[in-house]
Amino acid sequence: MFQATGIHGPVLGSLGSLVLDIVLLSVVFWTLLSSTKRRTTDILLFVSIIAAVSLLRVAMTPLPNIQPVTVAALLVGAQLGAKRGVSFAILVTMISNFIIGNGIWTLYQALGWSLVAIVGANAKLVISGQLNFKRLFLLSVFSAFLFDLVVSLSIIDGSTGLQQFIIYLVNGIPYDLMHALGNLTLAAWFGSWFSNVLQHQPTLEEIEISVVEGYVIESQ
Amino acid sequence: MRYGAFALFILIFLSSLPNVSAQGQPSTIQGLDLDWEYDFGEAYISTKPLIANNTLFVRTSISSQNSNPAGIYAFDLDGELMWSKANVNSTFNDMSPIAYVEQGQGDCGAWPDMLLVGWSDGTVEALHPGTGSVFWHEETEAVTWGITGSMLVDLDQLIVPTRKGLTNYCLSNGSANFEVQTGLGWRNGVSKLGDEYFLGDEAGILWRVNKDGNLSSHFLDIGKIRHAPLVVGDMLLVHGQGLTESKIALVDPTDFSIEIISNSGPSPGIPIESNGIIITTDSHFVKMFDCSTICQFVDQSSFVSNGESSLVFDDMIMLPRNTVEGGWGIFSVNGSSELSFSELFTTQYDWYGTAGPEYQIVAGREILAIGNDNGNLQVFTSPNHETSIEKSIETSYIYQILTFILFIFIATSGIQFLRENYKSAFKYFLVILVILSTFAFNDIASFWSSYISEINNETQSQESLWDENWPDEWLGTQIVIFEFDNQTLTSGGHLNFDNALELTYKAAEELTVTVEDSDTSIGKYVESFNGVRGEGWIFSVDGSEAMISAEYAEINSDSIVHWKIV
Repeated sequence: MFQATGIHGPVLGSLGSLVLDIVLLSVVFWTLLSSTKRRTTDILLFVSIIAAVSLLRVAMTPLPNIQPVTVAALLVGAQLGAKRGVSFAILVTMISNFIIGNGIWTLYQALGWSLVAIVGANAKLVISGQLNFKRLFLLSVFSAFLFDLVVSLSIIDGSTGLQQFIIYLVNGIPYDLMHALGNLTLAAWFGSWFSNVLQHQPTLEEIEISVVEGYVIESQ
Repeated sequence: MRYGAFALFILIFLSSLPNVSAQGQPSTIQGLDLDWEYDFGEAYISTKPLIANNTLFVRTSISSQNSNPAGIYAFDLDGELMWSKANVNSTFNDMSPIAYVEQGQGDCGAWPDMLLVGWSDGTVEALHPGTGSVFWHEETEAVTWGITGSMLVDLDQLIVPTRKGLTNYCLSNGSANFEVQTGLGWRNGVSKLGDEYFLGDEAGILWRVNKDGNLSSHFLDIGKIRHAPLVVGDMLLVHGQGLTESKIALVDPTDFSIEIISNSGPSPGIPIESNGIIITTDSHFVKMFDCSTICQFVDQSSFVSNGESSLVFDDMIMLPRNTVEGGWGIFSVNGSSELSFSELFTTQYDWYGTAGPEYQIVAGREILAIGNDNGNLQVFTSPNHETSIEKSIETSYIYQILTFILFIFIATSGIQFLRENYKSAFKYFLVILVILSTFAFNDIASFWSSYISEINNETQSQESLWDENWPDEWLGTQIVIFEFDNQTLTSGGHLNFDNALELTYKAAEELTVTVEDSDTSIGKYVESFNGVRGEGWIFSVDGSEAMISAEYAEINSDSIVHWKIV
């Protein structure tokens, strides 16, 4: 739905961009903030995934509303939890928009994919290390509409009435369907593989256990 | 199961082969294939179609009391009807050939590209070729019928043979320079030799009108003169119509002295000339004369044709057979020594006909348009013209590779399904859907947006958005407005653009406005005009703010695209 207008929201000036970047990075910092020590390899892998998904998003720009970030956010949320899912969503949005184009829409996109990551984190997509494909497919379709709805909110200002907003949403239905179809396809083809990659990343629970164990060993 | 999968693969493979047999035998004429056709219903096509500026214009005539009104139809060269215009006041026999004049300037003023039409109710109209809207129109006297002969464009003037005379109009605004009375005319086209105009009448009188509207005449005594005298060097060739026969005469325009060069059959058609070769037609013969030095009869062939003839395929003559069986005679002109019948081309719509075929080569593509009194237009085109060859070579490889990949996925999906490996089949099926949706997305998004816009009835007419400061020539055309903070630039008079982005590029080019755009997943996004970004650019089409990318925003022939900086 968003960008279906062929226009974005207002392009931000340098000060606006700076404020937006600070706000988003603050959220990332907060979500990644942890008293636990992490392995460099884990951090490198996480950064690599963010970079790869960002580049993939840029590369897939010519395809009509096929958004690899949505499924990735869903799985990152499911495997690594809501906080890192949110940080993943924000960083991917910021990095890819540096190339695609930055503006107020970055905020809404980051919010949309963060919500998708939170949904993924709470949807029990991975149980005992196994990906529940049926649930993944359903959420892939749902998250397409969720993301598009959130981003569509960006057009609301003082001059936009409810009827106009609904017309705007209805206009975007082909884009939503394309997004959902793209999600479904990416989930079917790469869902399992991507989930396995993410399993190499320790969950918060695993990190906590390792920290506790380390503390116990050191104190003995 | 494997046999089933193999059979499915073969089936899919075979379905990808060109389906020649299913298409049936195409109609062809001299290597041209039937491209498209149009049924005008109960109407005649009595004068030849006209191709100009990538548009095919056709005029129809009333055929009976209950028939459709006479009209003008404009098609793009692929057969899409662009506009049509009816004249309910028209009487029978609208057969004055339509004429196209390109924009120009003269003593009378400037004029845009125009389609000129003379109607049987005496009306003369200058129409916008892109929309059919009227630039100007004038009335002439109709006595049973009005204008039926061919008009003549002479520099900045339009010379119109009316029912009772000749009128000279300014092309720019239709104001009359002079009007003179002659005898009653029928299909009495006008021609020009030197600085004088010539036309005949039903009484057999040849009229001479000079640039100031002064008149002189002479009775030729060769029957009715029902066509524009044909200019042959410094002489005029007139094919006079008697009761049972006709006379072909050369007339000296200075003293009206005549020389009969041949007697022929009744009801002569309109003679044509090419490189000194004259072709005449009537109910008995097609005749050929060599007038490169002195006019002399060369050859003839039995054929019934009483209307227009056309030069086609470089060196051939094509003319309608005016009998109930109909069809089209094609003759070869071998040098200046022989007229040989080549073939009788028949169609499923054959009947009486007087309209000549229109033949042109447009961008390397041969186009032949024919129509007769059955009211059916048929358009034949060359299947492999140069530009399409280049284009198809350029693009077909990509599409063929993608199509090949698509078929592999279809086949794999089918095989996996037959092997009861449903998960795998589903995965391949999804890819197929994505590929197909990607190909079709442009059309789907455009259609959907147009549909939503239509049911919301948001758009406004051009009249309601019209700015009085815009030139009248822009009426009925596509217009683009660029509204910057401190100035507004407007470009109009554009035709035949399908979407807002294409039109915007063209307008920007004309106004030398630079455009910066980028690809997004939902289509092209315009970043800036003339380097001005503001907080983004929004656009509206016909007053309705667009909801999709300009690339997908469909526009009409008279749409106004308005870009505003945020």
